Amino acid sequence: MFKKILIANRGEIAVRIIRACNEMGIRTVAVYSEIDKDALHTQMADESICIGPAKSKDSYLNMQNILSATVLTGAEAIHPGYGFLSENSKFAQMCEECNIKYIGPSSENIDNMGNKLKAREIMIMAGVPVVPGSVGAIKTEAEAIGWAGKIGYPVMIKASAGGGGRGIRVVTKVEDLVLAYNTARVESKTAFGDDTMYMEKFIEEPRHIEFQILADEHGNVIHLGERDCSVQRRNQKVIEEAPGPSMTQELRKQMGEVAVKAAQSINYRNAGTIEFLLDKYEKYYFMEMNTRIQVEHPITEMITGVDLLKAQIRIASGEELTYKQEDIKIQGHAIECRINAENPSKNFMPCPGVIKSIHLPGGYGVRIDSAAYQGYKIPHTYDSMIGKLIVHGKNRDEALCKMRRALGEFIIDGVDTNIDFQFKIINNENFVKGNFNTSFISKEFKNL
Amino acid sequence: MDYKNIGELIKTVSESQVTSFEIETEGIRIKIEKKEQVVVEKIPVNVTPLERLKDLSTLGNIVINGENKGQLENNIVKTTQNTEKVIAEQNIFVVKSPIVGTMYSSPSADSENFVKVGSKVKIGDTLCILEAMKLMNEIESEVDGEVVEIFVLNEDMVEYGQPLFKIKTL
Repeated sequence: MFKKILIANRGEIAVRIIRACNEMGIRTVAVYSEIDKDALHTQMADESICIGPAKSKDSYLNMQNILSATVLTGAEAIHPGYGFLSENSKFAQMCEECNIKYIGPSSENIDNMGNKLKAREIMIMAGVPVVPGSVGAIKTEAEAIGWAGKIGYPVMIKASAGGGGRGIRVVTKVEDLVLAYNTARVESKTAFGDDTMYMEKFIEEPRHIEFQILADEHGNVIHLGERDCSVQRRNQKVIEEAPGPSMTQELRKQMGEVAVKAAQSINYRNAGTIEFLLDKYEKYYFMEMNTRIQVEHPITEMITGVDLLKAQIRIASGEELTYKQEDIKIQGHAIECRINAENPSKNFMPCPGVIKSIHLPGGYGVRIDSAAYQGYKIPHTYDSMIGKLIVHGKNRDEALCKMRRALGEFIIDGVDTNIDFQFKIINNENFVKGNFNTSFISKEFKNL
Repeated sequence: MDYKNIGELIKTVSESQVTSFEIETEGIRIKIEKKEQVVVEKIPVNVTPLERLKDLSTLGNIVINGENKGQLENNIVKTTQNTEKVIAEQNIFVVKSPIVGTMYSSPSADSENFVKVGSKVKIGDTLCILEAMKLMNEIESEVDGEVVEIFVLNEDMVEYGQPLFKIKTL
């Protein structure tokens, strides 16, 4: 087992990782940018090293400084968290070369799944259902027109190196295709330095269902059930819940087995998430794989009782998984609301600033994962997340009650937050009925 | 006990695990408490002039003869009154580390240090080497001047932004 781990991240996930290490008796090293000198993760860790100025590219993305800090403090492993360097295969490779254990999959895993076209091809070979689409890259306008005809409109033109919703165009009729293809190419080249494009059938109003995977270094792979993350705004998740309200036992078993097969086909190691699109006919399609721990991991922890961060650390230190698939039981229902420093009435404009006062909700079944504290100044250089509010009840109704109560108890002064917006969603008739898909927010909250 | 001894005594205590220290000798009483106050008091029996205080490595308040003389910052005394000769704040350039790494004060183990306190430097002169991931980075002076303080020792680990040298510009 590791004696010391360096956390290459900040904010609530850094706090989460430090807490797991503390419980395991592992010493922690935090890294921070100059503006994060008073951040909670910097204070909580046993040691802390300043690695750069405020800008991410000079600090939390500064591989040299982070690796130096690891070597010089004697940390044996790095946990990359999510975002920043967590899906950077070059960083994972550099760790491997410096004899530092990277707490996550191999650099090859990250490479394979980070290239969306490659990931698609690998999944097709493994017999995993994928969204019907083009085979190989689309190199000319003529090819684009040809494929669109074969697939059938509406189609989605996607960038192979893409992410964050960029390099994507939806086309409903052939007249719009050529223009969309060319603009998507340019956007992709600008954003990712790569304009390799492919095409998929556009699945209308799907649910976003993802499966949590744990794989050890001895070939054991299990899934821990699904999360429904359909409530999104501009491709950013707002609320997540587990289990998915529309899922049946049978569908869970089927999709879970497919997710495990997908992970096994690439010799995946450590924690990961397979994302599916579920259409209204209960047909599911592989969308992509996230080769890291995710923001919404707590809801899976609440319903399965498995501490995913500790599992990641154990896997990385060479231990075998202590759970078999039949040991994973789903108990109750969990919901997570992301609490951000933003103003919903001003187009969700981020509102950094000082948290003058904060009162956190509590009570049975309430969990807060946050790095905020009274007097903390939220910097303007990173994301606007203040924390995650998670509830767990014995069924979905009770979880909804608890979330309503907890949001009501949550008070933050000094910065604007989306707490009231979350409250509206939790009380929305369709949400309560479980009647929603990825178009939910844009349809129900048109004025925002 | 002269100024040099007092300075050394304070440094020794602050670098040790001792949290509280008191000594009375030759007309001087010195009381040091970690993280609180460095108190240097004169007993009115013998008048021994106190000269400059410098190189105090304890952070905290300095109390001289019962008067609070100000905060310590970067090991340098910024006094609110000018009764002692203190290093002037003008014309000071602090060289800070641009990376995380190990500081080497000389080009190799058995050679002379690049600079020491009192060395005169010109723009471009090498002050030290910072090693990171087996790469040696030479840290060059950006100003002409005299090295008045060195904050780190050979083979110390340094972090981003950590002060390395204080140079008094001409």
